[in-house]
Amino acid sequence: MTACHAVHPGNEIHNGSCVALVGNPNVGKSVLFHRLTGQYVMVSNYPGTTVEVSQGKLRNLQGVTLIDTPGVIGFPSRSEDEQVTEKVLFHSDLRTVIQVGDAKNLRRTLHLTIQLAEMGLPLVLALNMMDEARMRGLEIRTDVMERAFGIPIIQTVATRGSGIADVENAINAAYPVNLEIQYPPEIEQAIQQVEQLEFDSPISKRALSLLWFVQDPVCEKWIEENLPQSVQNQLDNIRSYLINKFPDGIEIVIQQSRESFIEKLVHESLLEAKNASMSVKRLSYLTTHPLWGIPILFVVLYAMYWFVGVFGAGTLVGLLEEQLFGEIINPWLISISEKVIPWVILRDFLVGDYGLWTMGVTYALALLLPIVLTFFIAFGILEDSGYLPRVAVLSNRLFSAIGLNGQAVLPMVLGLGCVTMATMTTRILNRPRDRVLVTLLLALAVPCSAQLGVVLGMLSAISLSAALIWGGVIFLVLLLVGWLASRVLPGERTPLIVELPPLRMPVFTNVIFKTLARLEWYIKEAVPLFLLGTVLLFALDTAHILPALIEALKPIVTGWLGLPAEAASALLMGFLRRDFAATGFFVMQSQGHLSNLQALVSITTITLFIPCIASVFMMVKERGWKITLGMVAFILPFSVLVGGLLMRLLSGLGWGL
Amino acid sequence: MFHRRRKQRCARGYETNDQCLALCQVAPGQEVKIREMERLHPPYRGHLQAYGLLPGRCVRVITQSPVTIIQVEQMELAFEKSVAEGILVEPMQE
Repeated sequence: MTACHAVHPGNEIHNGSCVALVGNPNVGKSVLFHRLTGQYVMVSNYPGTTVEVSQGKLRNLQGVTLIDTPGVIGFPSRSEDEQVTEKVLFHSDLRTVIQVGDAKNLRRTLHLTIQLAEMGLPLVLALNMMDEARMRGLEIRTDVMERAFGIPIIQTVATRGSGIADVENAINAAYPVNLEIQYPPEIEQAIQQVEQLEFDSPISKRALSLLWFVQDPVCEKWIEENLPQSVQNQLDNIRSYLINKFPDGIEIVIQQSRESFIEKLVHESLLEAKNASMSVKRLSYLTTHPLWGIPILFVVLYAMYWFVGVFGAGTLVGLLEEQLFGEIINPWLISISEKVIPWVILRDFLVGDYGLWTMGVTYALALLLPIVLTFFIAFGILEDSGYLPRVAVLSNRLFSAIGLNGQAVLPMVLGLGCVTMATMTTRILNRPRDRVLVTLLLALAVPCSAQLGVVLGMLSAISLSAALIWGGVIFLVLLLVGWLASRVLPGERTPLIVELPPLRMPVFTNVIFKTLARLEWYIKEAVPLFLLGTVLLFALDTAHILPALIEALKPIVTGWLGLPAEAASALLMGFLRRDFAATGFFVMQSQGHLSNLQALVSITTITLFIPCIASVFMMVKERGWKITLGMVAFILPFSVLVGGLLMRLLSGLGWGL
Repeated sequence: MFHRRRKQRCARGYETNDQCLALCQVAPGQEVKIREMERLHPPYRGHLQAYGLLPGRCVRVITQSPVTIIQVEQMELAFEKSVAEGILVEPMQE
């Protein structure tokens, strides 16, 4: 092995204040982060759960920050989340890099290890998921690999906490390593030329030049911003020479040198026995089967509908809203405040029609919370099972009709949880065009968990045909707008390329952890907004502006949509969050103020509304002001337009009479 | 004859025969060795190569519909036929 590569241990000590967790997607970086810091970050069984860095303090090392990064397949980075990770390597004051690798996929893991080891940073490799590797009959000789790379390699099972102490010790002991693999002479020569140039580099010049040769975007940006023009020109010359020399691409040549290094190493260190658990494989095969996959998908969707719509929005809401709040807490509070509070206005502020408690707290805790809770549980189970990427395979054909590929289903399904979070997840898509398209569809036609629960509750109170009409309209809008937008936006469709993670039994504690983390986030973000909205409505009502506003909206609400005039106040809440508006309609329906037709029109309109203030901010952050404003300007009138059209069509057909 | 023509079209201009065919032509369950990926659009090629799909690597075809799913090491990778067309493979030597 010594002939084709060399390892130079450096002796400078890195005293940086950060340790970075880096690795391929879906290898358990976030679980290890949780183990090392005690802090929970969202963990799931699909690539792309982490799209931004999270930071935490290391438990056993004073003053050192641990950075959890989005998964990278390798460099050059191909999507925005990969660039986030690469920037950490370029710009942070790093003490150690911990690569988390999937022991089952050793070759793929080592591809990244090579690139990290070339960078000359102190490196530790945590070979994770050793349990799954052993179950598949793989045995790994880490001592052989440790010698080849010159780095500590630790076998871990992060979900069960094994090997964590060794990783903690290795963080302190790690020293910089410079791996040098032999590349073809032309490339070696070019690297030498770069190494002779005078400049300071955050990673080894060898790694920097290799990234430069393959046109890595982060590396190019760093060079453009940090190096004098003269050096940049020389770098340009060296690269153009190589591009001429290798017309088929420099990347493949470099990859192949790495591949043959890995092949030798794997040959010496990996023992493969042929066996596998067949039942899981069988199920995995069925979930993507063109025939059997569809019924399985419907069973999964129906189970979710039952758990969230029937159990959450029906049974739990009934218990909490009608019985606990409606019959016990609220009457009691109202009678107390009538005795204790002499001022009518304060009493109304707390327990009146738009009272902080009777509307704000009651809606937020008794109506939305159980719905959101059941959705988060159902969704957490789905995420951890590894089923979602299989839906991407199944839905690929559908998405190709709107100029996307099946991978867009991931942010879309996540949007059913929370559109704001899902907008951030669009980073896993490779092209800006796809990201814009999915962001638009998310904002327009994907209802979030809070709203979906309320909508499902309302629909189950009308009829199955109402549910089908609602679903059909949303679906048609999705297809139509997607189809039109994909024609308008420049750029070609990208074909589907996606990794299917193994199907796994969800871990109970992780689902609970995840649900609690999301609930905490929901309560922190949505509930204050809800209270604020209630206060605004109360203020408008007391100042007698609300009636005027309702009057002003009358042509739209009553004239065009055919709803009762009071629906305007619910619609106003929709500007804060569309689930608040849905909740308002829910209450109107249960009090008998909405006919079946009106209920259906109102929820269809509100489903197509702007999701919430938070999601608009997220859109601005991810896509910029211009695109966001354009989308909002389209969505608002469009949702009302569709609602009115639906009303006219259905009443023309005599539906719901 | 028809079958042959279909094979030819699938292989996107590669010369195919028993020793060398496009990945989309391989029957499910078979193991093959990657031979060439030059006809693939470079970004997709780079994407697959980052997953370890490189000339010389052995893969097992799991299914061909609705999309091509293959197993590389212990990882399953799914991609469209248009991608599988651009990958040339050869049967494994026993």
